[in-house]
Amino acid sequence: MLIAIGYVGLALVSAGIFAATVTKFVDYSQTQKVFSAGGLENATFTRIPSGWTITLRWRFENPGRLPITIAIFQFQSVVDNRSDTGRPWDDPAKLATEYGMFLSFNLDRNTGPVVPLGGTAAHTWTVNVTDPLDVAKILPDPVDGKFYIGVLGGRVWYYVSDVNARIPGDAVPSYGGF
Amino acid sequence: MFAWTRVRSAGLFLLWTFLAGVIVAAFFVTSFFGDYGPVRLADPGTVILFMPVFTAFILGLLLADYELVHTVVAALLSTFVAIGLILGFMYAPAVAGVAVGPPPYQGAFSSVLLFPLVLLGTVVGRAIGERILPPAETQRRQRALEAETREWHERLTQIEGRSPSEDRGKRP
Repeated sequence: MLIAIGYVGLALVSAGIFAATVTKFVDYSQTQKVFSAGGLENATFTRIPSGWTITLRWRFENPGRLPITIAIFQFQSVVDNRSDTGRPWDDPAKLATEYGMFLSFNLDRNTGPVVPLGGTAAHTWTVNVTDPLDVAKILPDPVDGKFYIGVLGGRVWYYVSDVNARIPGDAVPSYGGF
Repeated sequence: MFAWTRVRSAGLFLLWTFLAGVIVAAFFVTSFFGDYGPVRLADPGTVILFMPVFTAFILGLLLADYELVHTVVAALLSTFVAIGLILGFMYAPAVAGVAVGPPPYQGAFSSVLLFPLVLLGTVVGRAIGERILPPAETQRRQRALEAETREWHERLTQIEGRSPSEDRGKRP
């Protein structure tokens, strides 16, 4: 009788462990499936004597059911000078004449920004533009006075929860005025 | 009454067998796919080898009342249950509609190798169970034999207690 009770107890504990394992595996997969690298949330352009100080804030999103840690992130962006609005913002010839930034961070699973489940996390870069040639390329839109930034794309490597697997993802191109 | 006993016996057999499959599968999955488990095991290999034998040993103890062939069937069934649950784990994201790639095989099909371990544990458990926890039928036979021996012993004692002349007089 005692053996039977112990056996049933062990089976109940095992069933709990199994259910928790399956749930985490499904959540892990769901988090990857709905992963989004987020997007550029804000950009401020501050005039300094030698040029511009540009502050870009990227907002990571996590619609998944487990927290994620962003270990490595890199993206390329350009400041559209709005000189030729007739051509698309990502026209290669136009991009060659604009000021571009390649921004990134390279951390690890213990130090990277953690995006909680269903939440967001931000990372900010500050860039000082002092080269006169570059400074000349940065201009606001003459009509609305906003600065237009195009994100050409990016790459992200992240961890889901404490699972020991680094997963690659993409940041999608975007364009907007700030 | 007879039918109820048989139904109860079959039900217990299936219950113990199913629970063995659950225990073996849970520890196999937690060891093999340690990242997803609620507990991190220090030595997954030992758990993968030990738990099937241990669980099957207990199963064997619980099946001491059954025939040996039933024990082997229980080992086979519990292995099937375990493999079914392991496959269920692997395909759970696909079933839930959130799969992002193929299931994580990682050699998980080696779970078929659980069968020899489960079989070994079950047979040894039953053999030991028969010794330390004899089945009800064996106990009944043993008690009947003891009663019969006692009866013979009492008769012999009675015969030996009679006087020799009494015995001589009865001789033909």
